[in-house]
This record gives sequence, structure tokens and C-alpha cells, in this order.
Amino acid sequence: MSRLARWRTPIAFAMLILVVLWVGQNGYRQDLAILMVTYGLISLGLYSHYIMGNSMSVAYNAYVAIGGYALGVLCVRTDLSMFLALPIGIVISAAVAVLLGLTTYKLSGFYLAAVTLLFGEAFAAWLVDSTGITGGASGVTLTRGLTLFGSEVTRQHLVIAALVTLFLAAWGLDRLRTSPFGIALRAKGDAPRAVESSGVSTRALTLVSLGIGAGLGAVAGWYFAAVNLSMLPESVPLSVAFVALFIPFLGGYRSPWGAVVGAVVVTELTFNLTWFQDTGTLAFAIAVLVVLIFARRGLLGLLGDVLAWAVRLIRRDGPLHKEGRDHVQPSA
Amino acid sequence: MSSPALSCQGLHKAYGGVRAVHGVSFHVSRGEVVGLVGPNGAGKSTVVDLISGEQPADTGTVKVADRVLSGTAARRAKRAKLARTFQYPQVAHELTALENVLIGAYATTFSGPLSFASTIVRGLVDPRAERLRRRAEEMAGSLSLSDLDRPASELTLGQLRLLEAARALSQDPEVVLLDEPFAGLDGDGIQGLSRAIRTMADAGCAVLLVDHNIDIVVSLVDRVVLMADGEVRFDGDPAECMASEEMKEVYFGDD
Amino acid sequence: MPIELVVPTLETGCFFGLIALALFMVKESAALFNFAVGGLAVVGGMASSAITVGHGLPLVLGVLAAVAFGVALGLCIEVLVVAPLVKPGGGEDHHVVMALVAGLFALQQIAGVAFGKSALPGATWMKGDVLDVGKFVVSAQALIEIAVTLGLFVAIGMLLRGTRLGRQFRSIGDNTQAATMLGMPVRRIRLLAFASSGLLAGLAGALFANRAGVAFTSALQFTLFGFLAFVIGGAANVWGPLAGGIGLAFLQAFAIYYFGPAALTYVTFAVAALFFALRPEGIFVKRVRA
Repeated sequence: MSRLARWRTPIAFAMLILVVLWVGQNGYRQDLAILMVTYGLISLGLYSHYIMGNSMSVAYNAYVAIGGYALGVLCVRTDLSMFLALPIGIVISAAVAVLLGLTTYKLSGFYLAAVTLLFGEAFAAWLVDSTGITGGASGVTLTRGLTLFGSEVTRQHLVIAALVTLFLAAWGLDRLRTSPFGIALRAKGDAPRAVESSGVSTRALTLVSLGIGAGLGAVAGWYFAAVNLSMLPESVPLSVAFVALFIPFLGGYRSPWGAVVGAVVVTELTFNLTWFQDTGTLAFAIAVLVVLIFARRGLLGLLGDVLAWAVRLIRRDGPLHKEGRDHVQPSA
Repeated sequence: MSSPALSCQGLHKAYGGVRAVHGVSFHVSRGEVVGLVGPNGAGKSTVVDLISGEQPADTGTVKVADRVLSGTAARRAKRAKLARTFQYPQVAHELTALENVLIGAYATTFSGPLSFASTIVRGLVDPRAERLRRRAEEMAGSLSLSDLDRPASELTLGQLRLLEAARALSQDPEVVLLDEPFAGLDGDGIQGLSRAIRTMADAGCAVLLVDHNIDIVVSLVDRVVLMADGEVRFDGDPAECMASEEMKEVYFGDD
Repeated sequence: MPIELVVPTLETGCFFGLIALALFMVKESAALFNFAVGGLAVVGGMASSAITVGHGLPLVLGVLAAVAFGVALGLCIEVLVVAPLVKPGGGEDHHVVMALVAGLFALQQIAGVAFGKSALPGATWMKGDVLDVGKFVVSAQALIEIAVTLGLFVAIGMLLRGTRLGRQFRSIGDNTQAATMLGMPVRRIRLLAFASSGLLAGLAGALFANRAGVAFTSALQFTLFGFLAFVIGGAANVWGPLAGGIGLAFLQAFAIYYFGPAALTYVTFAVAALFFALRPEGIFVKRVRA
């Protein structure tokens, strides 16, 4: 494992603290943070089943909407605690993902992506169409605030919780990746016959990973609705799910942290950096192409390469210089 | 006499109009190594696919220890403790050699929805799963596979075949199907694999060995099943098979 | 279905058919799906619209611009995206798939930056009706669109069957590895395929931009519908894409007419799920010579 990789969790935790401090009470930064968490959780969801398991299912606008609308509907129509909407949203979206996965089981590659994108479109249309449940084009609005054990949960609390959730999700997937589940899932993506013949159901692996992804999407939706106090059919459009496909590649597909890095970059490019103005998303698209063609391991991979080169450079000029020289290999 | 570990009865499989396997019946007992030989296109690999569940048979049954095998390949592998290797190695290229072997050890960790859930939770707590890892290392070591942290994409064909065998062994199987495991191996590899096969049989496995190389097969197996054009032509002693009329006909044509 | 919807639905069918044909060209010769076709159509449509409606210039210039952009961008995709990634054996692997989808995304963004983020109106470039029988109206524009579409299909069909180049096209796609070993001009054919793909998609965008206006966000939609039309019709012969396109257009029209506008997406999804799962080879099945 490379030097950098061993420190990834503490570095990520340090970044989390920095971001929380940076966001503070600033409303605009809070909005940015929530956007980043939304993109990040969707990308981590895609990481679970697409990057690891090679299942290119892209209906994330549906899962995020389910998470947000669950909160809105529960808030408006019941007296239950709004935190209950979180597990409800997760279960419903995981169920939808599993059903969709069963229907599309024989599909792979772009066929699967196309069907799931079309499902996402159909779902978006349904949100507008079914005014009874979803409030149609006007969506859902939260009529009461969140409370926990009697005290009010502020916007700042929610944003911090969202950032922590993103960190935990990435950390969890990072650990799962090298665990038996992760290895079986990654093997399924590459050599499904080998996995089947070893007694592990590839269908179960696929469906579970799809459920995990959908659950993460629902969590993103819950936070989005809770912070923005409302959710509309066009709050998280299909294009977000489409863009999110590329995020893990930009950040670096070898690690879930790549998905987080990519989400930060996308949010900055499309919403924040003023010198990109209207062309931020174009810059992202070109960056993705450049990475896919020339730097397949993404930004984290590049960072690792740069650090490794810097370390080699330092060592050559370091105090063990004489000994180092004897061991220096001619560069390949 | 105890029932055979593996038995096939009347297996039929046709693709379009082409008969790949026709009325194939044979059995393999515990501790026995049976060689399935025959020229290209005889249907040997198809038989292995039918047994393992990769392809559904049109008619006929496969039984392991008197229980009919049905369902997906994963189901059969789990229930019947059935392991196999493939004619073209099925290996996850982005994973390390060790991780590929580890997959073989996973059958019990994913045996049902509850164990699936507990495997995920345990994966968060203890991703390394030392016990499984040690088992995989043992199996790989017994086949002289070293340098297990390399990505599988760096292995030679021969090493990939040994890897598949190690993966099969990690399953702690009772029935093993080996599909052309010797192709591409050098002398040491052949010896190592032959030893492993004998060890498996001595431990009580039923081994079905499919290969082209008749010399290797005949020196290793207890019994030979000769196939041609989808049918079984001979089933018996290796030396007798080599000298038989059927063998001459199948490999050299009627003269 | 009311008779006045037949011709407009045929027009939409021809649009889908041309996009599907654009996919067909690359699929047949390079065993790849050129997912960027939707983006090429959007660029063509917006370029044409900007020139004809925006600057008041004649349609011919708009169409020429659309075709020029289409061919140029099609070639860019082959040179910059496909050639560096495609393995010598040809065909699809998930790196190339991802890169082509990213190419679609990039073209979409380029169109948005170059032509603006709002939908551009399409022009009615030919006024007057050719046929007017009660509710059944065939406008001159519709007739020309349909005629041009049919003409293109006939021409490409003849090229593929009748010329040496055309036969190479299909044989290279069938087995790229063998073709390379036999010394066939695999790269040249692929360049030609992407260029023709761009031409057809750009032209489709220009001709049919009037249907409902073109926005840069339509790129994904066009690719999806074109892809679905291609799968429905199959690649057995050159008419498959057109059959698929017209079939899809009529299915969508029925759905909207009987069940309302949202039904468009429901039915499209259902058709895709059905066709992809049950019959991915399409309506026309290639007969393999035994």
C-alpha cells in the first residue's frame, strides 16, 4: 500500500474538520456543502454497484427524490418524528432499486444504463403527474422544523451531520472494499462465472449493492429536503444522476475517497468558481475525458504519483545521500 | 456399495439444431479420479457446464450423493460442495492473486440473507478476515503459487490455471470438476497440479478431469470416460481404453 | 389515433431513424456504440437554428453547417476518444463505453456554451401543404423531411451492399481481429464510420429542429431514443433503424394520446425494459449463414 494510502482516513478526517469550520454559519457555504454531500453520496452509491460490481444502474434522481419526498410527506401528513423518514426513505428506495435490478437482471453496460435512465425519466414524470401523493409540480414543503430530544436542530447542525455522514459512508465503503463482501463484489464485476462457481450468488451481490447505492441516494435526499425545507420534482433532475456517473472516474476509481474528491471538484466547478461562469460543467466534462484517456487513476492517482515522485526526490538529496546513491536505480 | 459421489444420467443438450451432448451417463465415486477425454467438439466442456449448472440440460439428471442437483451454479456449488475450473481461466484481473483465491473460501460466508448481512457488518469491523486469508494462502502455497500480492493481470496462463485450482481447493469441495487444467503448464506446474489432484482424491473428493493431453490424464486417473460427437464411447480402465477399438476409431478414424 | 397525428409521428420516426442509422454505421463497422450521436444531433440542430432563425440565412446554409459540424465532431471523437482507448481486437470494453458517454456529455456542454443554454426555436423552412384531405394534412416540409430520410436510407443501403467499401464496412465489424490480420483498412473504415455517423446525426438535428425546438440538454434524450430505436429495429439490415424509429415514435404517440403526456416516459421505459431483456437483437434478426 502506498505511503499516502495508509494515511487516507486520518487525512480525510482532518479535511472534514476543516470543511466544517470553513462552512460555519455562512448560508451560501452551507448550500454548497449540501450540494457537495448530495453529489458525494450519489457517487458513493454508484461506487458501490458500478465501480465495484460493474452494474451501470443510474436511476439516482429517483432514489434522492424518494428520500426527500419521504421526509416531506411524513412531515406534512403525519405527526411522526421527521427522523423516521430517514429509514423509511432508505427502505423504499432500496426496494425500488431491487425491483428495478430484478427486472433488468440480464442487462449490462449501456443497455442497463439506458433502461435505468429511462426509468429515472419516467419517475420524474410521475412525480409531477401524481399530485395526490407528491404534490405534483409544487413538490413538498416542510411545515415544521426538526427537533431532537426537545431541542431544535438548526441548519448548521444538519450541514455538519451531512458532512459527517458523507465521511462515514466513504470510510465504510473503503473498509468494505477489502472485506469479503467487497472482494466478492469486485470479482463479480470482472469474473462472474468464477464467483458463481465458488458458491456465491452473483444476483444477490448485485441486488445488495444496488440497495446500498439507493439507500445512500435516499440519505442524500433526506438531507437535501431537510436543509432546503422543500423538494420539487426538478430539485434533483436526471442530469445530476448522469453527471454523477463521471465523478468517481475524475476523483479516482480505485478508492471511494475518489468519489468524494470528485464531488468536491464538480461542486466547485459548476457552482462556485466564478471564472468558469457558465462553462464550469464543460470544464468538468473535458476534465473527465482527459482523465479517462490519459490519467485513468484520476486525481487521487495523480496525487499519489506526484507525492511518490516528491518523496524520491527528497530521498536522493537527503542525509543518507551517499547510501542513497548506491541504491538509486536508473529511471525506467 | 455406497452411492457414487457424482452421477450423471442421460444428459442431453442441443444448441439450435446441433447436438452437443447426447445421452451421457457416467459416475464418479468418492476418492476416485475420472478422466473425461475425447477430441475437440466431443462435448466434454459442455458436460462440465451441465454438471456445474452454467448451462441447463435439456433432459437428464445430475446427482451428487443421491441428491438431484438443480438451480443456479452458485446454488449447486454451495449445496453439493462442488468446485470447478474453467477452460479459459475466469479471473478478476484487477484483484490480487490472493484475493482471487479467497473467493473460493467465500461459499460459507454468503450462505443466506442473514449470513450476507452479518458478512457485511463483519466486513466493516474486520475487513481483513485473517482466517479466510490464511486458508487461501495455504491452498496457494500447496500449488507453489508465490508472490500472491501481484495483480492477477500479471500472471502467466500457467499461473492462472494454478490459481483457479487453488481457488477450487479453498472451497473445501467434495466434488471437483477440472476443465483442461494442464494446458499451458510447464513440467513443474504439471507435477504440482497432479500431486494436488491425487491429494484431493485421497482426502475423499470425487474428481472429474477433462483434458486433451491423454498421456497426462491416463497416468493420473483411476478410470477413463471417452467421448466423441456428444456420446460416451468407452468407460473403464485407462490402459484398456488406450488399447481399445473405440479409442482408435475416435482419434484416428475408422481404417 | 386521430389522422392528423400520423404525419407528425412519421416525422418524429424519421428523426429517430436517422439517429439510429448513425448508431448503425459505427456499430456495424467498429462494433461500438457511438453514444455521442445525441450530442452531434443537438449541435447540428442548434447550429442550423442559429443560422436560419438567428441570422435569417437560407436553410441550405444551416444544413451545410450542421453537416460540417457533425462530420468534424464525429471525426474528433474517433481521433481523440476512441482511437487512444480501443484495443486492437476492437469492440467494446467498459473504458471505451465510459469515454463515449463522457463524449456525449462533453458535446452537450459544448453545445450549451456555443449556442446558449436556452432552447432554440426551429424554423418552418417551407410553408404550404402538399396534401390537404380533411384532417389529414401533409405539409411540404414534412414531405421533404420524409423523402430525404428515405433517400438517405436507400443510398446507404446501396452503398453497403453494392460497393467494395460497403462490404468491407460490415465484414470488419463482424470480426475486427481477423480483418486486421487480413490487412483490411480497419482504422480508415472506422474514421469513415464516425464521420458518416456525425453527418447523419447533424443532418437529423438540422432537418428536425423545427419539431419542438432544440435545447442543449436534449442530447442525452436523443441518444437514448436513438439507441432504443436501434435496438427495436435491429441491425440485420439498413432498414432496421428506420423501422425501429417509426415503431418507437408511434408507440410514444399512442401512449400520449390515450394516457396523457407523462405516459411518454412510462411507455418508453416499459418498451426499453421489454425489448432489451427479451429481444436485444431487434425486430429484424440477422440470419446467420450456417
